[in-house]
Amino acid sequence: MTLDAIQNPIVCATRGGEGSLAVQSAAIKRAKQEKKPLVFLFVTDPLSVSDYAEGLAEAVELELNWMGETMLRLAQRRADDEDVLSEVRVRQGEVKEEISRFLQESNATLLLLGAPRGTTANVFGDDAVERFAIHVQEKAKIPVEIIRPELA
Amino acid sequence: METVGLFFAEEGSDLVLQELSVMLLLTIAAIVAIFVRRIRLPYTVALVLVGLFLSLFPNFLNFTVSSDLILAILVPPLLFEATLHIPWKKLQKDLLPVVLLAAVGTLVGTFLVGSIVRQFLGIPWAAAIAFGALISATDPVAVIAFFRSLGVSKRLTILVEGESLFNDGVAIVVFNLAVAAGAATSAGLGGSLNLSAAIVEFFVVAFGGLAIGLLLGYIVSYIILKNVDDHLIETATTVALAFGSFVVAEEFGLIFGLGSVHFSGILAVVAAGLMVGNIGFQSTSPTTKLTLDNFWEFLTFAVNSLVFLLIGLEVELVQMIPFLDDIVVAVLAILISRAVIVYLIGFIYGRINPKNNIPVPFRHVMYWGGLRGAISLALALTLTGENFGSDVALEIRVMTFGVVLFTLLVQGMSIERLIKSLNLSKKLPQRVENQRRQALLFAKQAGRSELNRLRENGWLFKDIYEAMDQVYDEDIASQKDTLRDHLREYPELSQEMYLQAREDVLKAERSALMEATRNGLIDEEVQAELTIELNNRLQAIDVIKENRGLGYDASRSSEEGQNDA
Repeated sequence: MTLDAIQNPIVCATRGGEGSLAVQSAAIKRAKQEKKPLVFLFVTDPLSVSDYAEGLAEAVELELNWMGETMLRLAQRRADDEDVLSEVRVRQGEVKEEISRFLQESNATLLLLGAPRGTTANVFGDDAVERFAIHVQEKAKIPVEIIRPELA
Repeated sequence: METVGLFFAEEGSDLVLQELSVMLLLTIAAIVAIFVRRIRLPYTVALVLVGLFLSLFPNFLNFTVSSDLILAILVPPLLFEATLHIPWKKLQKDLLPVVLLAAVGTLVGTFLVGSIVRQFLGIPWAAAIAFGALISATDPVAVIAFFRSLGVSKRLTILVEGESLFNDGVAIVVFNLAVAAGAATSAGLGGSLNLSAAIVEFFVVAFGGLAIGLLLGYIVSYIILKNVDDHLIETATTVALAFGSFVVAEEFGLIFGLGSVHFSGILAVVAAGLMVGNIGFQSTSPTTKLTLDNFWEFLTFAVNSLVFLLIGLEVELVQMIPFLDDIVVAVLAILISRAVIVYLIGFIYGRINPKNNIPVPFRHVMYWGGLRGAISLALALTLTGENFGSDVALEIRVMTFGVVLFTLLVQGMSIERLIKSLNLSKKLPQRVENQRRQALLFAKQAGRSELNRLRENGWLFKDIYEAMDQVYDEDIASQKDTLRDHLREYPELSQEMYLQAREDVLKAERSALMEATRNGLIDEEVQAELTIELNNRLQAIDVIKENRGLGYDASRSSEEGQNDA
């Protein structure tokens, strides 16, 4: 499926961390309820490997893509089990900027983000994941929800 | 004290006896290594304990350990091997705190320890400073072994190992200056040390050693390792470099006809090892790299075994009893000075570079993990009556033994608990539990394979086989469920399972290439080229494991939430 074919999707940014299962489940549930396509997104940051020697940096980037692809296929199987149409995307770039860019390109309606265990909703909004969400929301002008594994 | 030769058994002992002694020590070390696999005791600590026990039998292995043996023969390969595996890129990121700890920390520590022992024990200034310097050289072998087994952050390993590598050289330079001042006093040549001359001497010796090591390391890396593709020649060259850089730096004047000019051999070895590990190793073929890794791993094991057994053998417990007060003061002095150095430098560095701050839990481990070992012992053994008078020399030697023993036995045996209590181990309970569930599933599947084999070979009746097979099916299904439940609770463990599996399949791909070469399907050049690529991929897996939330990492912690979905 091309990007054109999945316009106005719900986007679930995931990388297989602590909050991954909770956010994927929530995204699948929302896509099913709202009858919208779902995109699982994994972003790797080439800058994070720029410190390594050339051969190694290239290998790290390739392996990150491999891992991203695998983690997203795992999420897609969960969506398939719930009969939810989904697509996977691995992108490269600075994580916040790349997610924002993807949201704009795909005319996404919602972004779901997972949070690590132990973080809580903060009235000041200065928790790392909250700051991240606020940045993306302001940049892409799209609502962003944080799914906390403890509350899922 | 003897200063030449490898070991000295009884007077007049021959080479065969010495050879036998070395073999006996290595055999004891191997036996100790086998036993410590079954108990939670650091290998080096176990060796010291065995050495202490053996020292109770004066006629058993009657060795005298010389400082030259430790400094010129045993220490260079240990330092060289340690530096081979320090990635310059990572060291560079923490070079400032490492240099602060190794240089400023050693100088401050020397002065603090010296002041305390001078104040409470009345030791002359030069001797007190000499003790402060020799006892400032940290030896983290036991701690690093725990870091590896507990999977502690690479950054903490580099901070601890980097500090130790450089502070050895600094401690030796300061120690030699203090001893020279002490000798001058004893000879009635004026007691005070010319401070400005000492500072100049310090920089000349330290930077001279580094320059010699870099130069020799450069020659070996670019001329030999890059151009000669023979794993035996390349391995022999690295051995020559490890010992040669030490000797050339220490005996520079003698070799080049420049009188008594000398530089720091320890820093020369460190610089040479860094050069070879970061440049030379990258230019060698995979076969050579494997040979070099295996050779240096073995040599380090053998030498470390000898060093720590000899530490235990050299310490005379009976001799320590009259000096208990001195030992207590010395231990308190090193604990206080270490606290000041680590926490103060950690605080100052945090102000200089808040983004790369050393996390407080790291500081606790760096404080308690500041063990003392071979270098301190070697330097203490060089002291004679000519330096500070025989009573003071003996007092310093015994205090050194006491401190080395305290740090190895008390700190060495409790550091694991500290690492775990600070949650710095990557082996979190959920990871261990995951492994347990995976292992149970793996074992049951192996059991069922064996059951199938028994049935195929006709060892089992059909009905017994079918009944057992059914039970196995249920067991395996239930085991899979428990594993899946656990992964549902801790989804991040799926990522770890993926990385482990990915590593295994890449290794399988590499083995397949070797097999294809053996069978003549592909040329060695093609295999070498593809193997380099696969080795890079395997190294990439290590990098990903290191950087993706598998352990505490300050540089990541502030961004943890950003990409943890």
